[in-house]
Amino acid sequence: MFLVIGYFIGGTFPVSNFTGAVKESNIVIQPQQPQQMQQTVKLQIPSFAPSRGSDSAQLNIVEFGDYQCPFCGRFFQQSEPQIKQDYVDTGKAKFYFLDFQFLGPDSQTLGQGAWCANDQGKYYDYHDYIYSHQGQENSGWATPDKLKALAVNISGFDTAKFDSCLDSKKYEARVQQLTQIGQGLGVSGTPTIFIGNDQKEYISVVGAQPYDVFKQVIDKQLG
Amino acid sequence: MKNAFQSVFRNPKYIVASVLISSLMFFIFILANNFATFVTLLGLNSPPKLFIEVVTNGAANILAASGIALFASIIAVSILSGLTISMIIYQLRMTRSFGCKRNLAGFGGIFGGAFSSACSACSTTLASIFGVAGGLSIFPLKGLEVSLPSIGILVASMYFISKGLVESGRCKI
Repeated sequence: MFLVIGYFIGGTFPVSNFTGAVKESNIVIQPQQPQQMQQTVKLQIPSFAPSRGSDSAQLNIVEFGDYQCPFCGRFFQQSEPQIKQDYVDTGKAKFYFLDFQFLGPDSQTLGQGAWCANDQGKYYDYHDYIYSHQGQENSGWATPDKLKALAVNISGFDTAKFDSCLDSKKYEARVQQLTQIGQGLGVSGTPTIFIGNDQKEYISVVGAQPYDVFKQVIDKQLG
Repeated sequence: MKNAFQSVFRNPKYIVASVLISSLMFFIFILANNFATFVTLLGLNSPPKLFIEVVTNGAANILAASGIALFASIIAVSILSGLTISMIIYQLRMTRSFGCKRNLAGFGGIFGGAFSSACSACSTTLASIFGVAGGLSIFPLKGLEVSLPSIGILVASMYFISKGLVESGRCKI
């Protein structure tokens, strides 16, 4: 009984039962036939999404995350550094972080802040800084004013430009749109990491799983 | 209750059964909430050690990300589930009867425990299946709202089983 229920909520079900392609922005998702037990999805990464790693990398690692989610924080601290060291820095894979900001209004603010940082070419500096200084979810650590105060500490940051961008809410729609796209992909919790490329399609890993789980999937996709 | 408890657990077999069932329940709670990962690993023919790693990592994640209170409550539900099921087995063997409907409450408590956030991701809990958007992360106590009543139900269930055993004359008073 637990297994059946677990199957329903485990993230595999929404993908496998997803019927019809969804077009949102630059992402196209199409259902695929199962390869043995492994479900894959097709995912076109938005052209505006900044990445880490070599442009010639064979594989993409795409995380849907929430800046307030403690498990995303765990993934950032535990597995992401090793993935970066073994696959991103060696030119085998590119890493993308996309918004799935669903835990509250402060998550939305944090997501918008990332795109404001991106205007200054600091998307991943912001990503790293926020996850390194993450507070308890919905405790008020990431209100617009607190976020502005935090952003001051990111090196080389134009805080006036950042504050103005955040106040204008110019990226509100983008954050919501990316979150909706994640939902369309079957993302039911964060972090959800899609690993693959256009040819092999993408396998998802849900949760702050140990590095060896990601290694297993990445090596399979590289192989 | 004390006498019934002593009657059951005087036999070492029931102590062993309780420990095994408690461990199994804890494993199942984590398995059910990380099922997508297990399916992925099965599809990749992963070695067994990786499955164990997911379980131990899951436990560490609950402790680190959800806090000691939730972690302790999940452990408590697992232990109480082991004790309750062992007592039901004892009752079945001694009285050839399941008891009565109130024993079913024990299974309600166990089921409730599975709804606690024993997951390595925000929101991907069993609660999501019932349309609780955001899973248990939207509740202020992050899952204790479910696991604490489960503990109460399991304790009540153990009381009723003990009472049933005493009334049936299977316990020395």
